[in-house]
Amino acid sequence: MPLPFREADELAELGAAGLLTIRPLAARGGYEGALFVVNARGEPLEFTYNRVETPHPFLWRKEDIRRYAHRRLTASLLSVCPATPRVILCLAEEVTSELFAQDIQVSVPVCRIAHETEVAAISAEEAPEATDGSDSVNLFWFPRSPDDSALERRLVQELARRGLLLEPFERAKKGLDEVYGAAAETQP
Amino acid sequence: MSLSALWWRECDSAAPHRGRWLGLFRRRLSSREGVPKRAVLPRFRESPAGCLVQVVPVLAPAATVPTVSPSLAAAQSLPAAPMGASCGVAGSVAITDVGALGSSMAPTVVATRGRGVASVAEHAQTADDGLALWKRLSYVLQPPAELLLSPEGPLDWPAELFPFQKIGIQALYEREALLLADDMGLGKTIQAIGALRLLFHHRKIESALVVARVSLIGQWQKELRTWAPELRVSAVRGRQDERAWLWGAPAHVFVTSYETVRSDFTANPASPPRRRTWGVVALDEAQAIKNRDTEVSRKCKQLQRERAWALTGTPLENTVEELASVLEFVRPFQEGDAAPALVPGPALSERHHSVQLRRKKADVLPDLPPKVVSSLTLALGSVQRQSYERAEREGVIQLSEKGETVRIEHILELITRLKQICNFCPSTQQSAKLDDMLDRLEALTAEGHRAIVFSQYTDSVYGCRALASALAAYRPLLYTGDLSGPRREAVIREFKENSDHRLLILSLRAGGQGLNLQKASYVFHFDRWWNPAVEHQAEDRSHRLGQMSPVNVYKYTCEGTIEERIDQILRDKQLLFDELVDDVSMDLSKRLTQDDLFALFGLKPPSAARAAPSVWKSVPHYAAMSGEEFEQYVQRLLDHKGWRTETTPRTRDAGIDLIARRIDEVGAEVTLYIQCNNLSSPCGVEVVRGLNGAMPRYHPGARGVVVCPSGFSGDAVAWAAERGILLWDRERLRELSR
Repeated sequence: MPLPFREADELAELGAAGLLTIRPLAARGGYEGALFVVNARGEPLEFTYNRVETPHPFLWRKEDIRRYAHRRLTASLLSVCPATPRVILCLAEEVTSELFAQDIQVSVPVCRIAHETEVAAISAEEAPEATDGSDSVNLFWFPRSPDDSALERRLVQELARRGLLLEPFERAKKGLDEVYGAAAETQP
Repeated sequence: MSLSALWWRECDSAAPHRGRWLGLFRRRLSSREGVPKRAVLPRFRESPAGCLVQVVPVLAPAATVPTVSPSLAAAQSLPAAPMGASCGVAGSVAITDVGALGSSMAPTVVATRGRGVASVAEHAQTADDGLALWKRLSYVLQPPAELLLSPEGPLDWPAELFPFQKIGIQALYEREALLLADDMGLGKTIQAIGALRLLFHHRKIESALVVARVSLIGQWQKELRTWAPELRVSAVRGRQDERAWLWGAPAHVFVTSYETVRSDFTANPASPPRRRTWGVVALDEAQAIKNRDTEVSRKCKQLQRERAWALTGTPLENTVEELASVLEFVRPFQEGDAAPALVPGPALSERHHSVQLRRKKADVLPDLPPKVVSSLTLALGSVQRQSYERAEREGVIQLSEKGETVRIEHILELITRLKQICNFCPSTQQSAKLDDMLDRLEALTAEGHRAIVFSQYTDSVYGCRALASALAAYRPLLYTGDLSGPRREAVIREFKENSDHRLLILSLRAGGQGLNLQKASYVFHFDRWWNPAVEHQAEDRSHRLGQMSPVNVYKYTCEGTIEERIDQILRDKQLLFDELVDDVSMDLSKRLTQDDLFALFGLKPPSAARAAPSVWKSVPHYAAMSGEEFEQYVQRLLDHKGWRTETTPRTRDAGIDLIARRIDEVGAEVTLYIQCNNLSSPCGVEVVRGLNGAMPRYHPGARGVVVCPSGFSGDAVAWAAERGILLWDRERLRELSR
């Protein structure tokens, strides 16, 4: 069976994707998250993580707390990302559309990903589309869907072809487990 | 303006969620944010200059994230620092490819020479368990092994792996010790390389050593280039000064030969093979260490290793002790570890069960073209028959005349002689086998097929060279053990690329293992081997992955000869192999004994051969022996081991006291020139030099041996290692006496 080979330079040209994952802290109020940067082969390039605790949420709506924490967490993660990823990917179930539509403005496309069977809320500014391949998912592009020849699209297509649209999020969560499992004991 | 401000910013960051009015009071949301920092992890890859470079892990110190300010530009140049120096609740780990992310993200890059990833560990934060955070993250953030093995995954593979190969790679990847005993042709080399690739990608290992037969080093290099192109390979061979450099070369995988390990692994802890702990030591054709008494076997088992892989299609060739010897290697080993010897019994069986992964072709490759084995029994021509019968008659008479002094060695000599006559008549060069082969070759080459022929003899009277001249019309290529490594590779390449060569003639010992010869679909065993496993291995040079046509194997046996009698023994041994390796039974009732060998000629072994002399059952008192008594003691030991020994004249021995000869299984004579020194202190280098000077030059198969129960000086050990001279001390003598 002929295998699809790609020149290393071609893959390097596609750049890197930043996968943003955010999850609530189970034991205490707040959120923790990571920006996991991978290249077109899915190889890990950078792993940035942080945690925002909201210990006194009295009288605050849960949704407001979530939105505030997501915003702060994302800002801190992007602040230590010293170069621009080609595209930011995040899971629709974790990140709502307002984060990048209203709270944080980025110069690269953002693509929220939802499994094909998942119900996801989208905003009017997002452009939905479906993918084929091993990861059958719905993509919600913001601010618009890139052209077919755009590097952003080619990068996402390459990741999808390799089954790497969803899988790296699992790794990022393991990374968070690793970091905070070890770091928790060192905290005062 | 900071770099990050170029591509992102917070929108209207001042107010919306900072506070909420409750009547006249503004209630602020209190939050506690972590402090970010950054780290870079190493990533192996090749620099344009070809030297190994790696990215130094950088754990960047925390850059305080302002609560409100949009100038969150923490990405100003952050100096490298240990994470431990800035242990906040946030951080960043980069494992970056510089080019992919632009120069602003360029991590520190250093060139290293063979230092390995551990050299950068000092920069990293270390957890309580001693493993740096960056290293733990580098494990968990890598794509899982299943994904790496997938053709759609991050790694490009030159061909799709079979499911059973993926299982093999997973097993090698996950386990510290594995005996991969798949049938020949199922891709053990590829599985090993695949597992190495995964282990390096996951940074679970930093170095690997592959030990293979010298003729297969080139093939390992080629397969590594194909299946793991990003790994740097150093093939350690050549002169001593070249090898010294190659051991120190910046590489991930070192490929070398058993002979080189034997030479370069010395008593000096800084000798190249032993001065580091290898992430993996893989022994290809691991039956090479089946004899635990050999130097190479002992040294391979002493290689410090975190993982031990033995690759062989024939873990058992003759006896369970051989399997035990291989299994003694299959375990991690550190300097100072005890290395218990395995003995046949339930524990060995259990160990065998626990470390072996074996798949048969029939089970995993139902689509592989069939292998049709035909045993051809031929009648000798009249002249050849007369020569044979005369030789056997005379041989048996000579054996009978020896009486109690007859040894297995004498039996083997006669068998060798008779087998040679079965190949070619010594007086007329008549050959029933050749006549039959000519008929078959004519037909099969006319159909466009090609063939390989195995013989265990290489000479021009009975073996490969005789065949080459008789079959010159088919433009045969010759592959024998006396060819240099590059020449052997050239022969194989020529056969693969030039179909004008219809025939490849190989000596069984040189060409029976490791080669990929799918271009040929006909295999001839011109003479028979002692061991069915070896024969199968030779056949499977052709019958392996990539073979598109059915493989026809022809095994010649001459009617009414020793070959026919041996054939029966071979069948018995196949039963033994099946039971032990495939069903892991420990029934040894069918083991080949010396009774079997003597019975080939209607003889019984002498009573002396049945009982071991009692003299060496206890530890001898060397100090009480005179020089002559010690010499006689060594001679008796060697006699007992099947060597033919002779003493040299006292006045003209030139430093050589004993000459011991033995013919090995393929009929090649091995000669030992032995000097016995029963000294009270360790033997010095001058004695070894003296023996070296006294040995005949250009004598293939000759080795020098210095025997001294008191041991040897460091100089002597080093000097002997360089020249391949064996040193037998008290311990070695004790092993010989077992």
